[in-house]
This record gives sequence, C-alpha cells and structure tokens, in this order.
Amino acid sequence: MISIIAFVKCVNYASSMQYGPNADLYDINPYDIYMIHQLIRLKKTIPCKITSVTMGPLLCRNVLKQIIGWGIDKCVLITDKSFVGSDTFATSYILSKYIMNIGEFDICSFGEKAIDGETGQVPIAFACRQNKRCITGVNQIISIENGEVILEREGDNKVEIVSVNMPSILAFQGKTTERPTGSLFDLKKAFNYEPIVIDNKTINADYAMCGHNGSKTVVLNRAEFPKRANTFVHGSLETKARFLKEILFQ
Amino acid sequence: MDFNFSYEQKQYTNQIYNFAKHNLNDETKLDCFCMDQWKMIADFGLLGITINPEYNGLGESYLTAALAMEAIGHGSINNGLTFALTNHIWMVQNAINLFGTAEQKQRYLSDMVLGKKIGAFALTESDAGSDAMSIKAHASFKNSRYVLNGSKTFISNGTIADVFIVIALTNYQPAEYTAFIIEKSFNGVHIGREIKKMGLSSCPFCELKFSNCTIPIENVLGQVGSGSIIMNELLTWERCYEFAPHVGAMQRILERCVQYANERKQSGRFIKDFQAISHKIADMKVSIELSKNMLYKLAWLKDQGKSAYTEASIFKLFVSENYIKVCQNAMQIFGAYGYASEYGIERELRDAMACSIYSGTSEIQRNIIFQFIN
Repeated sequence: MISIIAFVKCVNYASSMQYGPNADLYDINPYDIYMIHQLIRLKKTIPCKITSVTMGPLLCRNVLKQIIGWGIDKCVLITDKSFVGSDTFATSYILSKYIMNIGEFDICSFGEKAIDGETGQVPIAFACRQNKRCITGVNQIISIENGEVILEREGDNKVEIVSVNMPSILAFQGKTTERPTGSLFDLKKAFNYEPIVIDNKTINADYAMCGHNGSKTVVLNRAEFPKRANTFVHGSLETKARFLKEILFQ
Repeated sequence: MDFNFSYEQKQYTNQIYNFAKHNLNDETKLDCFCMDQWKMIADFGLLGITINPEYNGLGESYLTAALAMEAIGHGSINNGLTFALTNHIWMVQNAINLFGTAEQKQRYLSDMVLGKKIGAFALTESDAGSDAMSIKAHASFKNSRYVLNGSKTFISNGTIADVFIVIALTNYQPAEYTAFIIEKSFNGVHIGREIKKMGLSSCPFCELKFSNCTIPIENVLGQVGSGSIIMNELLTWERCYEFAPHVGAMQRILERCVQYANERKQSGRFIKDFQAISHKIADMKVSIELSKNMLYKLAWLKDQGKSAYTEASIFKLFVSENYIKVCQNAMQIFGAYGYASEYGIERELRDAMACSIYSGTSEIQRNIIFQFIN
C-alpha cells in the first residue's frame, strides 16, 4: 500500500478566505485543501494510506479532526512550545525531523504555499533537507505504476506529464475553500477521532534549530494594509454575472 | 423540549446534502435506474444509516436517519432514485433488521448495506391495492418448504431487485398472512414487464409472477401468520421515511422559486413583489416547516420504540398533499417555463403526483385517522 504524508497547515482564520461568526480560530490552508482533494481522488483508484501532518498549536486539534471526515486515514499534530515563531527554515527542519522519526514514505506532499505567508519555501527547503528534488506546480497525480508517480504539472507556461520515482516530494499548486465530501463512515470516524499529538520529545529536534532560535528571518516591523471596501456577491451564477455586468457597464 | 440537533446530526445533514448535490444531479440519469449511482450511494454509507456496524452500517438513530432522508431529498433532483433508495432501505432492509433471525441478517443485511443486493417489497396485486388484505398469492407448506403461487404488480425496484419481501396467504380460513424473503434466483420467480408511468422514471416498477416458487422454511420472515402485523409495521415506516425526502424536495423547490422570483421581472418589477407570488412562496414555507416538525416527532417516537401508526398516516397525508401543491404552485410561479421540460418543474410535479397514491392513498389515510379519532 502506498504511504502518503500530506503536510497540512492550519492558518489563522482572519487571513483565510472563509470566515464568519461560526468560523474556528484556525482553518485549513486553502492550498492544502486543494492538495487533499487530489489525494482523496487518488485514493479512490489506488490503495494508499494518507497521513496528514500539521505543525502548529494545540488549538488546531479540532480543526484537524474534520480532515478525517474528508477521507484521510490518520492525523498527526506536531506541537511544542519550542516551535513557536519558526520561520520556513526552522519549519522545514522540524518536518524533516518528523520524517526521519517515522522512517520511509512513498510520497510527501505539500500545498504550494500558505495564505498567511505565501513564501512557498517550506516544500523546497524540506526536499533539500531530504536530499531530494521537490516537484512543484503539481495539478494532479494521474497514476502510480511500478514505483513511479505519473503526474501533471504546470510551469513555464506549459503543462507537462512527468514521471518521478518514489519516494517523491510534491508541491501541489491550486487552492480551494470547498471541502472534500468524504463518506459517512469517514465522518463518523471523525466525530470520535483525536489527532495523534507529538512533541519535541518524540522527534528529538535540536532546540537551537527550532522556533525563534532556529529562524533565519526576523520580523522587524509589521504594518497592515488598509482594508479595501468589498462586497460579497451571493446567489446563482446568473445573479453574480448580472451584478458584475452592472458594475462593469456603470 | 429541546429542538436542537446535535453537532453530529448537523454534520451528517451537510455531508449528505453536499454528496447528493454533487453526485446525484446528473440530468442524463433521470430517465432510468443507474447502478453506478447506486454503488456510489452504497460506498458513501447512506444505505446502512441505522443498521448495526456488525452488518457494515452506521448504527445511528432514527432521528438522524430522518434528517439523512430529508437531506438527500433536498440535494438530489433524482426523485426516482431517492424513491428506489427509500424502498430498499425502509421496506426490505429495515424489515429484515426488525423481524429477521440472526441467520437472515447474516445472509442479507451486509450485502444490502454494501449495495451488492437490492431489495423490493411485494404486496400489491392487480385486485388488491387499497384493500391489501384481499391478496390472493398463496404459499402452501409441502415437504418442509413453502410453495408460492401468485402475482404481484406495481412493485418498485422489481426489475433491479435481488431480494423480495413478499406477503402471501398461508391459510384461507381464517385468513392468515406470512412474509417471506425470496431471492431472485429461487425457482419459479419471474420478473415481468416494466410498467411505464407518469414520473419517478429512475425507479422501475414491474409485475412479479411466482409459479411454484419454492421457499425454504428458513426464509419465513418473523413468524408464520404474522404477515399482517409485519405489513402494518412496515407501512408505518414507509409512511414516515419514504416521505422524509419529500420534505427535502419541497425545500429544494422553494429555493428555486425564491431564486426565480428574485430574478424574473414583469411590468418593471420583480415577480416576488407581487403578492400572488409571494403568498404562494409563504405557503410553501408553512408546509415545509410543519412537515419537518411532524417528521422529527415521528422519528423521535421510533427512537423511543413507540407506536406511530396514526401519526405516520397524518404525516403521510399532509406531506403528500402539500408536496403536490408545492409543485403546482412552483409551476404557476415559473409560468410557461415551468410547463417546459427544460426547467424541470413539470418533472417535479409528475414525480410528486404518485405520492398521494403509494403507501396507501390519501383516502385510506383519512380512514385510518378517522378510525383513531373515533
């Protein structure tokens, strides 16, 4: 059975596209939701076990439970006070230590970036630490045959079908806030599921390489962009098209 | 009295609605039964919502099941498929779950929940519709097995079913009825012609004929002679759970009418601004809310293990007549577009018309209700 590790980030809801009075403080990064859609689509055709791995605060636990309802097999939350303030350099180190801890994998997958940072560096830095290449711009995995992953990727204004040997590290492009619909069995499993929580004692990362200590970037100043007026347009496609037409032809 | 649903129930409702909306609204699959869609529903886990996990079910409550049925009616425009589904779950699967022996459950339930076997309930005969007790199909006991002769008609799922629950006479005087589990592969089972009908096109109806059909004694459902009790009990379930999707369907039609009324302009105004239209929509909402309340109460009664015979008749009568009225009003709101096939409103009305007939006509329901009052 193919073993897939899906790295998922929980982002603060204020920067997420989907928020409202009932939104959790944290939500799944929309780039990672797209990745999960693709992995679940793959799971319907090829036997595989998908484990989602998140580095984040304990608050993310409840948000992660919903991933099980989408059809993911297992959820792991890596959390430790020493990880607070980790930049992409430190994050890629910590995730690498986790992978070293679990041993072998067939596919490690990432969403291309996170909407609260948009650097897109973690997948590539992680791959460097694994001494492997990271295949970026992945749209979908087409098939897995004879130890090779056949996938479709986009880059340099072209779409390619490429094959890459396993174990492989993939970064999916594309984002969505539409949640996958798992089966009712998955949903029932999610109700009672508790993510596996592990801390630094388990992965044994060097404290000097984690958190603020391990981060190469320092935030010197932060300024918020002034918020622009916006309107959410709800309704059917026809309603939205009519609204846009009125705006454009004013 | 707490009218709130649990977090889990809300999640189930959303998941089922989303599943139905994304997977069961293919307009090219409305005219005939599609096995691919059935398998998809089975894999999704909808078939075994109240069945014990021992038989691959989810083991949820009857209230959760009512919400599930409502959600599928809300999400899917394929009323025929929904009808086939509810027949299978509540008239056959539920029958075996409630009245079957451990061996019968072992033999049939898992496969039915996994979508490998489809069920059909066979009661009606050409001369026995509303007067269900005048059925003539007869099973005589010979050489340690039953031999069934007779025919049934208007059997939902008949052409696609693998397992039938058949009610037959096992004694003439006094009249004694027994329920049997009959497999399509038994000797003497003949699937007749499919019956063309006004609506519910993706649920096939047909005739069944039994010619010296041999039934092993292990396939008696419940006790010999308990057929009328089983029949009445199953009709109660049918009246509740086959009409639960109609509550969802009414909601779906209401949403379409609201959207249309907010977009369609006549005489320089949106048609929602005309009271003739807005009152129709308000009436739809009233029907839906009252139907929901009755549905949830019925499901609660079932969860409590209480009888709901009369309540089911009241619910069935109210929902069936209001569902038809909602579809008729929708057609008025849509006008000529409603009459045209492209918009699907006329199909909704054609599908709805059957519900004042099956599970006992509206007239029969009124008789039952009056008997209770009197």
